Amino acid sequence: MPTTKPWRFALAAAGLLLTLFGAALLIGQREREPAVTNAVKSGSAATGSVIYAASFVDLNGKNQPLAQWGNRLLVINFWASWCPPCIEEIPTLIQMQQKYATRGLQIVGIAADSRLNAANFSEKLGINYPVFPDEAQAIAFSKRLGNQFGLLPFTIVLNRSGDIVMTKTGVVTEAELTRLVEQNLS
Amino acid sequence: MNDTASAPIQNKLALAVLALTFCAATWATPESSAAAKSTPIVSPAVDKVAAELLEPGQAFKPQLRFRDPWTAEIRFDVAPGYYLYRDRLRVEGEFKLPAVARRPNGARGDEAKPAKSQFVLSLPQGRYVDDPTFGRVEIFDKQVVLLVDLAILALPASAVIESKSTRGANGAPSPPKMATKFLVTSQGCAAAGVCFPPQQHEFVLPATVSKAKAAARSESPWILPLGSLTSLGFGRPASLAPFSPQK
Repeated sequence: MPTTKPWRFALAAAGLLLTLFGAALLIGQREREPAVTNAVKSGSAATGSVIYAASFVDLNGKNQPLAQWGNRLLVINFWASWCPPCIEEIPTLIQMQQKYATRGLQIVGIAADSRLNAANFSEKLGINYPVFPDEAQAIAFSKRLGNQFGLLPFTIVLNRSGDIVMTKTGVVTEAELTRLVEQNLS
Repeated sequence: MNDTASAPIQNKLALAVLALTFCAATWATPESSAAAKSTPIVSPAVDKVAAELLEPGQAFKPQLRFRDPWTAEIRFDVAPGYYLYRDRLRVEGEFKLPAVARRPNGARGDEAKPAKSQFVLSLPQGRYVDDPTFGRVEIFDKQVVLLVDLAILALPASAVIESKSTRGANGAPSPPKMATKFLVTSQGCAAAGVCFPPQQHEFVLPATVSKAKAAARSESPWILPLGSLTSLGFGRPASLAPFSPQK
């Protein structure tokens, strides 16, 4: 009789441990929930939904929801006038927009800059796609999409299904964008 | 006898419960939790560039100390492969304006409140590089020390701030009013071809330092920033003209 008591005690202790652990797990999940809703989920469709839910004001002061380009290969390029590599890659983006717009490519630029700076650079560089200056939120938005340190340039590409097909920190090349067009726009 | 016979069963049951507990613990680790699922997608391209980069606080490490009652010294340790733009360095001081109990016209005065003002900097010559976009620009790609003249404010925030040194009763110049907080703004890039957004490093001076500095004659210990924030509103002027350093 006395030999069974330790096992019963172990069983009861393990059960109690499991119950406590389960409760802690539930509490933990609840605490984490806000972070999940504020951050981008790992599924690319979830990331796409975050992007499509956003809207920005263009250089003409008009509100532009990103969802309007949901049926296109959408290239979102984060840039700023104080970022030399950003300025360096813009001619490539202009060229790609001109070349593949009819096939379904859409480039948009989100500038971490003032409206005046973004407008002047757009004019000077001859940007032929929508530019959204948002000095206050551009970097924060790019961080939500995986740009941990808010580095520029940063580019994220969604296919027509809203899946992320490329994320890049640094200058995007013509070859990279051409490959994406060939893979995603028949 | 019965207890003895049921011991192996109980043994197995206890082991099963423990195994279940272990599985639950494993399942609940951050890697498989909902929080981990919030990790954004990172493509190989990001892994290649972004994953190898230092965070801004490591790429550009600022420290502050006082050389004398009139001069603060800010040292940036710039990691190899990174550089700061000379014309993008800025230092502001936050001063506590004294409370004004009653205005001369009898109206109620203001409570004590902070006010910011930009300091004049003394910067060493940087290294000139030819930027394909901005032309010839001056950068710091190694350690750099900025000297802050505490007696001269570039942009007076308020007439109430009397930062300029005055002469005391014995004719010796008295130290300037000490800021309680220093805000150091910098912006730099990595040679890998990416730029960091402007960072603002905040140095909060303990009250003892602020007061003690007035009498100090020797260098103070280095002070580390409390933290760094992304600070925009620092854009290059629309004319593309270089951002003029304060001199």
